[in-house]
Amino acid sequence: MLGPNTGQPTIGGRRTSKGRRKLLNREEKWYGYAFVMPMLLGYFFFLFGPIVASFAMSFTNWNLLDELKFIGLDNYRNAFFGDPVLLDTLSNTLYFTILFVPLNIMLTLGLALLMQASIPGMGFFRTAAFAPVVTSIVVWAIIWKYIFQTDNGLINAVLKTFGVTGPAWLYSMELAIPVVVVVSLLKSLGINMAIFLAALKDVPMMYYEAARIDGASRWRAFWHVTLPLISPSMFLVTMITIIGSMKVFGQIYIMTGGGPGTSTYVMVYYIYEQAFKYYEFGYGTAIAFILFVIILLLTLVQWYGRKRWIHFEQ
Amino acid sequence: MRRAWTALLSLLLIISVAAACSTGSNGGSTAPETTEPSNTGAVKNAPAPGEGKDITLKMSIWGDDNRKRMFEEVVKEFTDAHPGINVEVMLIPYQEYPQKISIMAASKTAPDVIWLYDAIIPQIRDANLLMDLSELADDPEYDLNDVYASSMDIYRGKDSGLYGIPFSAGPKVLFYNKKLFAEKGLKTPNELVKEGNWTYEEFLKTAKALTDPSQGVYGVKIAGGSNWKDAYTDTFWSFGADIFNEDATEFLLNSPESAQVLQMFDDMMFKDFTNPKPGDQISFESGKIGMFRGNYSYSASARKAEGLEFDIAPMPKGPVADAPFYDGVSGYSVMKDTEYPAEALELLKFFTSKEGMAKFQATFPPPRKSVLESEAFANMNDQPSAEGIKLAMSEPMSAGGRVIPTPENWQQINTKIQNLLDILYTQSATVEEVLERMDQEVAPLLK
Repeated sequence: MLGPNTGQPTIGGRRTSKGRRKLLNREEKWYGYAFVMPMLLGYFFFLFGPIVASFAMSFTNWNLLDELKFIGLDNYRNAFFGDPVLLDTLSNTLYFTILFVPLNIMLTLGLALLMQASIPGMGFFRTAAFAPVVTSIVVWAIIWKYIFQTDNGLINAVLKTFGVTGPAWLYSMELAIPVVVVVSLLKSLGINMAIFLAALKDVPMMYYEAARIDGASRWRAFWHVTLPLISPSMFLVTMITIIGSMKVFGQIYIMTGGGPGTSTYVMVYYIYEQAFKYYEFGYGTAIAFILFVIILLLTLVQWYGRKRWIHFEQ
Repeated sequence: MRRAWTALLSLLLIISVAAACSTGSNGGSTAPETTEPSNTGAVKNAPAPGEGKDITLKMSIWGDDNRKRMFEEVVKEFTDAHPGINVEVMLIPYQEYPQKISIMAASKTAPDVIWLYDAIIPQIRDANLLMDLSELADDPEYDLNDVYASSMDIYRGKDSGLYGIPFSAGPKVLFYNKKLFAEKGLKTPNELVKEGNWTYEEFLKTAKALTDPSQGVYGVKIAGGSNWKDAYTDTFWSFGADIFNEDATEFLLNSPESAQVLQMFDDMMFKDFTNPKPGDQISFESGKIGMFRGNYSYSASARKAEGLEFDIAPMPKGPVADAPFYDGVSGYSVMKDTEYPAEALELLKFFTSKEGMAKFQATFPPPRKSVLESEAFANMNDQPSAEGIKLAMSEPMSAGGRVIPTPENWQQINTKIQNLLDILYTQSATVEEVLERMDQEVAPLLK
């Protein structure tokens, strides 16, 4: 993280009169604005503007081809009271998140602990775990769709050699989401692992030495030294992983297309379907804002809860 | 001193950013223009001085780069004959096609000549975005009567205007693997057609005889996919079932006849194992499928599969012997607010004329009588055979097909039906229960 003083390094240490310093500060302020202006302008034109426009769109019934009409809160009313599929979608999304986030954090932390050792050949394993991250999600999902085929997929073919008839992995209301969770886990382990690896490297060795002298077991050292000291990274990982899994789309779109039935409809898939398949852009953006509020609330809860479990914050 | 450097540096930064932005936007807008002359062979056909400046027509297609090249070659013939007109072929992936077209239509950047397929035609036609082409009927050289009337139905608006010309239309066909039939010593579908015995009973018997689990061979692949409309509609109609009434105001699928059809497909997947289970990606090109229902244009892919010997046949006859086939139509329209209506119409005529359709007949089944029934069309490739083309394509087309009437919110209905069929595919309910649920959930969607 950048310290608070990085904004004014140029005159550090030079003795100047007070007035001159003030003038300099004012001028530097303008340089600062000049430097951030391209970024700010880009943000306002290409992000903030469209966000405001789509919020306005959520109060319309726009379908691209006809004239748009303001219909007030009808989209939101329909979402909350008149759309059973949206409820399924929401619970599927939460189910995905509840399965995905803890598994992801446990696995990535475990992997990072295994891979922090500097023994020959470790680079290979780190690269192997990270490689899926740089693979396109579309390619990844298509390959796994073939692996999980009902009768002719790799997994069921292997099971068959042991005399087991595998289930229809992606054509089962119960299995479809867990299968997508497994595929997503394998895809995304690397990034969180890298964050944890960096955090583990930052834990000073002297704490471990002190713990060892006090007679702590390796488990206690992990529990009382490692975990508290990497808790800021844990916080970051939890937050971005929850946000990411609330927004899951690519693997669902490719592997199940929301099916079978509506058993893998997730929020972003439903937004896509409403807006781009049914041309209900107004309704689609309304759901997008509901998702936004949900993610915002989850993040705020974590943000204000962080003081209870983050022991060390810069 | 340092201040001056900082000032200079920030000035440089701003200038370079600004410059990058402006060249970026210029680059974006001029790029198509700079590439066009090479497309059109401008050197050869430079317009005579005083003839006015070049115009550029945009035309959209879906498909892949090979198809784009094919279109560009044909377009070149058009631009060679029409100096001063450039044509840009816009390739849009099939999956994104309807979205992209609507977004372009909404932002007034739609292509001048636009290729549409049956599921999206009604919505765009009724949104009053397309040009009425009725006047083409008065052009004897163009000969609109040569185009199958049943394939034009979908382009007739409520005001009976004609909002497009079909370019590719015809029945879905049944591809069959000749090797697998020969290995089992079975009569091919076309032999049975000629005997007058190509019925669903024979079809099911053949499928069972072809299936060989030890070789991973399936008799047939029709059921269990994600496109129920293409897969099942013909069979529904030949059993006397229907999806909607004529003007798509009533949902009719909950009937004993459709139950019979769905049960038949269900048994193929889960009782006789003659059809791959839902979720399987095995393709006809692998040589492990006896019979496969697909578009005629799929034969181009099948021909590329090494060692695959195949032919095409019509679907079997059901209890309703004279049921129409389900006509999958796509064709060209001209956007109403195009800047160059005359030139765009000329391009549409070029593609949908006898000569134009003949140029594409290897890929797209031509909805013109004179082309479809020509010797050239029947004998174009070794596979499918001339006989297969006659039995599966030309004869049904002369008899006339039918397009599914598509209600306004067809997409919702389509998705809803597919989602409910998934309940069958996961074996979570009986056929009757699923049809009952369709009745409850689809009927209210028809306004």
